[in-house]
Amino acid sequence: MLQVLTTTPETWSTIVRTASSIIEEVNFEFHPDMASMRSMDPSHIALVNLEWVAPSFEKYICDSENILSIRLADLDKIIKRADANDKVELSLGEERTLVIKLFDGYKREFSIHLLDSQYTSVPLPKVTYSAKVIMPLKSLRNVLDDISAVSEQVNIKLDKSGASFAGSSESGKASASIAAGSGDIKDMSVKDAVSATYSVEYLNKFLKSLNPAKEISLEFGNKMPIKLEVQLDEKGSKLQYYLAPRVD
Amino acid sequence: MVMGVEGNAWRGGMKINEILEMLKEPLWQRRWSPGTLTGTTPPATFVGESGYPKVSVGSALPQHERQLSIYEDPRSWLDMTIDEIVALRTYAVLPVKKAEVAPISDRDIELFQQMTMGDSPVDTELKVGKIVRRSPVFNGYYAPVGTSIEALKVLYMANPKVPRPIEKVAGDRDMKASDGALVLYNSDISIYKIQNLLSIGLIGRKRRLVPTRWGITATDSMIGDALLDLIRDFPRIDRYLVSHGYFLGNRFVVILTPDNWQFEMLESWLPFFGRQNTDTTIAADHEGYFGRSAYASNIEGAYYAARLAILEYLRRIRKQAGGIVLMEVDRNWTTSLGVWRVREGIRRALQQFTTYDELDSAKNAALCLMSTKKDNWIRSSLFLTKRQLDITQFLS
Repeated sequence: MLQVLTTTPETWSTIVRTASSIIEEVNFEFHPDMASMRSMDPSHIALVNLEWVAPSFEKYICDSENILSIRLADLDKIIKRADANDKVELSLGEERTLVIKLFDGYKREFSIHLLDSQYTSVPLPKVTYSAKVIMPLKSLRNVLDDISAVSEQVNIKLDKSGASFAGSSESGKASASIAAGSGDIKDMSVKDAVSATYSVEYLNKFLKSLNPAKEISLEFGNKMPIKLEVQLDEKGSKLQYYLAPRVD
Repeated sequence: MVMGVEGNAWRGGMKINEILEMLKEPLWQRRWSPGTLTGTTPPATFVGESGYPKVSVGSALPQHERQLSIYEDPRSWLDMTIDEIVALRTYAVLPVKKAEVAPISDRDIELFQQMTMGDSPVDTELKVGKIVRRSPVFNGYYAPVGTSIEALKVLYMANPKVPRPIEKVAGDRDMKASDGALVLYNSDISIYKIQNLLSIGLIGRKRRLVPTRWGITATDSMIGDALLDLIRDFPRIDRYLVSHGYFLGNRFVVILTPDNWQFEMLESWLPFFGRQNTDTTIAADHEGYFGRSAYASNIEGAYYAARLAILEYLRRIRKQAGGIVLMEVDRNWTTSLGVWRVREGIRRALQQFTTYDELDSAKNAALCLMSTKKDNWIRSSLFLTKRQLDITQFLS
């Protein structure tokens, strides 16, 4: 038995758009206590990880493990049909289908075919991070927009004084800095000063689909993957994105 | 120059003394008068871009019988000198007719289409008018084109011998252009023939004339994308490979890296301008694993030609790799002859490799082959400066 209900389509929309920016098909895992999804992009540069706990749902009934392989474009088309106040209910239908109901007075029902893809578990990166900063998503987007005016990669440095971002290319250089204690840094912890470089394009694949009003945490280390994380709600559900670095 | 070369030596299917004959009497100096023009086309189709959407369409008529086999085959031109290529290409008259790119309804354009479908020379007779352009056209996009003359009417055309795959693709108006181009490519139809067929409006659902200049890049891009879909499933190469070649004043160096597909091309004209020791940046374009959606506006058509040559090689060895192409033009490149020299130059360069274990050693070996300063290449490149790591290296 699987029946999960959310009060709005927002979280589904965020998850589907974010995952579809790096991959076409995913495995949604429904466990008795939470839903999860973990996928690596085909170029093996980025990985997205979802932990969506049962209390985040209006209704969450899952009495056994269910792994649903879904073509994200199929799901996206249906989620896009939802109005902002629509409730979204997912359940299993007959003949390997996923039934999606959208309702807020006006009821609609869709079903999409599940895929027969083989399930393989993807582990998370095993990295010990020595620095973390939490900042408004809007501020991070602005910084990356500035850097991407001249560069396709961004070097991020974090030390006790704050965060700095820099990029360069044949056309010039760009830099931006945010001081610790300013409104653009909500929290930070730095054991050791760290510096690493990442693809702006791949960072934006994750960031562009998120609600800019949210806060985002960045954890990374020298020549280590960066972990970006947004809280989906106050109940502990979160969406994470790991991106491998570019190195000399 | 061909002086000093034995007259009976061969150059890409022609004897040197035959080419010397063509050089003696340039076609653009010949007197042309309205009337009947007979000749044989290899076939060689041309669609101009000037005046778009009303363009000039024609099929070139080389004036020397032995030109026919190599007139439209750039694969053999790398072994010729620039003067010989100019002689080969400009010793042909191009009867052209003005036509709207769509719909294609003019009977003569339809006859040009039929000529283009043929895989061997086609005899033809035309009623021609005044000279449209006496001097040949040289540019960086397509091979030189000779004197063009107004085509008033196609009076006669021998039946062309049409290969089955061409007949099939040209006859299928439900087949997408990219699918049609791929069917032809996989049937061993040369990329140059496919370019001609696309330009004359014989491939795809929405049939229209496509100026040769655009058709060349469209074909490289479409076939390249199809090959990329295949090679993404292949395992990566396990070492760094460096190859190089020098043709007609163009030096090509290719570095293949043990990465997933990504591609970058850098093009330096600094030796051509005598500025190879300056700190000037050079043109560059690149793409990641998913390819690119925007046109490579810095390198233009050469980017897609080089990319195709790399992807062809990867398909042949059934491997995936990152590719970096460095191209340098020096003063021996005396005339603009078209983008084919990039495609063919890299195809030829990829016949031999040196292998390296580290990017640094491959990069140093590659940059030492060029006369443009190393710093210029490195400053202008995304892939020579930093390497994208895999997330799999960090998985628990």
